[in-house]
Amino acid sequence: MARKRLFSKVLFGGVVLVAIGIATFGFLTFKDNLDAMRRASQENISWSANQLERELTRFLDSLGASRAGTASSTVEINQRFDVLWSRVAVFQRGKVGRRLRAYDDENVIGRLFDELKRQELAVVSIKSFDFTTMANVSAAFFPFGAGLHELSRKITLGEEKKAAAIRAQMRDSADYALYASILTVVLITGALVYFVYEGQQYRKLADENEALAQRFKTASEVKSRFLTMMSHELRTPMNGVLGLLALAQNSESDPEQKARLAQAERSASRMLDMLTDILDFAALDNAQYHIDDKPFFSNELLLALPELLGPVASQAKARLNVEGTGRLPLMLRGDATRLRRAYALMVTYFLETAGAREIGLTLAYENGVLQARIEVDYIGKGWSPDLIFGERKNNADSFAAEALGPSVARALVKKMKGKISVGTSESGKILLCIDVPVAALEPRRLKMFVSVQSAPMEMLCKSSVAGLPVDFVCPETATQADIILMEAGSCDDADKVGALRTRFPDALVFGIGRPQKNGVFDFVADMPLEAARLKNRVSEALK
Amino acid sequence: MNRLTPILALAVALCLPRLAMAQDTMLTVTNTVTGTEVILSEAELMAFPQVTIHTENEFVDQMTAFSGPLGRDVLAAAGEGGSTVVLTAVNDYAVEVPIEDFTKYDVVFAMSADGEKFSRRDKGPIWVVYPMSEHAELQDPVYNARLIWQLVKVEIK
Repeated sequence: MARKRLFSKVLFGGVVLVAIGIATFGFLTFKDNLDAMRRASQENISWSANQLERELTRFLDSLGASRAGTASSTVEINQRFDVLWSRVAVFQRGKVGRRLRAYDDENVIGRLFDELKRQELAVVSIKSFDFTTMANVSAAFFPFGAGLHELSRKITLGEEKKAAAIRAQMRDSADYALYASILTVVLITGALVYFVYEGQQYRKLADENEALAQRFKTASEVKSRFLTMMSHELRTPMNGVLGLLALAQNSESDPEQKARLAQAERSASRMLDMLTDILDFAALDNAQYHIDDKPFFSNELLLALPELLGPVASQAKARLNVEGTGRLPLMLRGDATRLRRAYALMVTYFLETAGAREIGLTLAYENGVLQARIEVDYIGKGWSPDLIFGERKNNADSFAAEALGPSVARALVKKMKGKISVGTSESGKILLCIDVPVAALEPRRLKMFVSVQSAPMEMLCKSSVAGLPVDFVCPETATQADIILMEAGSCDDADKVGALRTRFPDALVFGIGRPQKNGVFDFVADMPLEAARLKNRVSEALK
Repeated sequence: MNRLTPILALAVALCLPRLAMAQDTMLTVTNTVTGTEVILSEAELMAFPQVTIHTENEFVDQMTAFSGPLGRDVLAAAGEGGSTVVLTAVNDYAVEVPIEDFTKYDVVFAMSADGEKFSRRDKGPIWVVYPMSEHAELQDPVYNARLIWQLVKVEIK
């Protein structure tokens, strides 16, 4: 293929060079033609020589006629002399003069002009019947007749020869132009035919490549689906194993057996995590993998991460600190689930694989980017996580099992158009930066009133939505409300809720407790108060 | 007004009949259509508005200033009409020129070149000069042949 491309390039270059050569040749031929046409359009000088010969004859005739006493007068003799002089003067200047002189290799004109000057006084002062002078003048000019005749003949022949040469040149030029045109047409047609043929070959190749790519894509998708399905199928029995191990651990009193069961449970749990990672990894290669773009509270991340990673940190005997710094907007827009997963995978990797002693995860927001900084204090100095967090090469052999989590995290971040970089913090710890572009949203504030019987219950309800943009209004005086919290469980719940809905048609009514009838409230949080659920539902309302 | 100028000039010249008769005839202009014949002396030709054109041709070595009356002004002196002009030199050489040449181009009946008056020995008294440098289409043997010198007779047909 490379040789074929080289041949095409050489052919194209050759065609261009030949075309330039032909164009240059055509230009020179055209220039020659123009030159020939210019010369062909020059003044015909044959008549000048003929007229000179003729005027000499007429001058001599006027002298002869005067001597014979017929018609000519001295005035006419002078006039003829002047006219002859003027004809000789034509040879003296201009392009015509130069061309005429070129033929006068015997200097006939020069000698004639000298003779005119010599005889000028005699002619000007000639008198009627001064036959002697007339005879002398006539004798002086008569010998020039033959020379002028020869000059006329030379000029006539020379001009004819030149004209023939010009015609031949124009004919040759026309022939050359014709050959050049035919050659150009043949050359370009040949090149076009070749390039069309080559284009068809490339098209065919492209079609084959497309088909091949489609086959590979299909095979890859089949593999991904298989992997996904298998991972999913394996998770179910693994959950069963985990459940039974937990039961066995609870019922076992022998400390040794209990430790073995705990180890088995950790291994099974690790395997379950790996299956989850495989499931994610396979799903990420799927073209239909969708990244959400929904509003979420930054607090969700800050609260969920310790909850999610706390047990792992405890097991690794490491400290984990998650916090928001700087100006972290309350509400963001992006894929909170994938963000949480990416952060969790990275932190888990450091806890379980890198032997981290302490991990600090801080979230900040700047210029439309959610910046996660994971600072790791680890046991083994000198270890660099570049190979794990750097760009993965397409080489299956270099793929380590422990890198599965970070690989999934990296792929997730990439899907969210973010980037990961590894560096060192000011205190010399590993610093992993995960920057993902997300939009900051200005959440609306909700008006909420709490209608419960006791003050402690009211405090409990209010504290459960702490941190959310909620304004509490007075139940008696409120004219507008978005959410109403009221105790559920009495027999007239429906009537009370109905009255509230009449008063606040757009408000959501949440029940606290256990209602006697289902479907009365928009949401119910059971007692003891399910604060997290309540907060999540209020958050939903905010979105 | 421009068309009247040569006629007025001719009228002024003809008002000096004694002077005109005393001078030699330089150019005879005949209009066979109107049957008019005008005989012009050098003074009468000088009485026409004088025009100078700068041009080259095959009979001069460089750009030359030719001065004299415009051909169309001189032709107008013999009256309107006609389509062809026969220009005849002192040696009876004659050439036929379409009358449009005189209206389309500033053809000058030149009586001097670079301020020097023509003698009979050097294309005098009148050389018909076309503005060839100004109009490339005039650089052709057809117009070279119309550069007639020693002009003595003009006949409009």
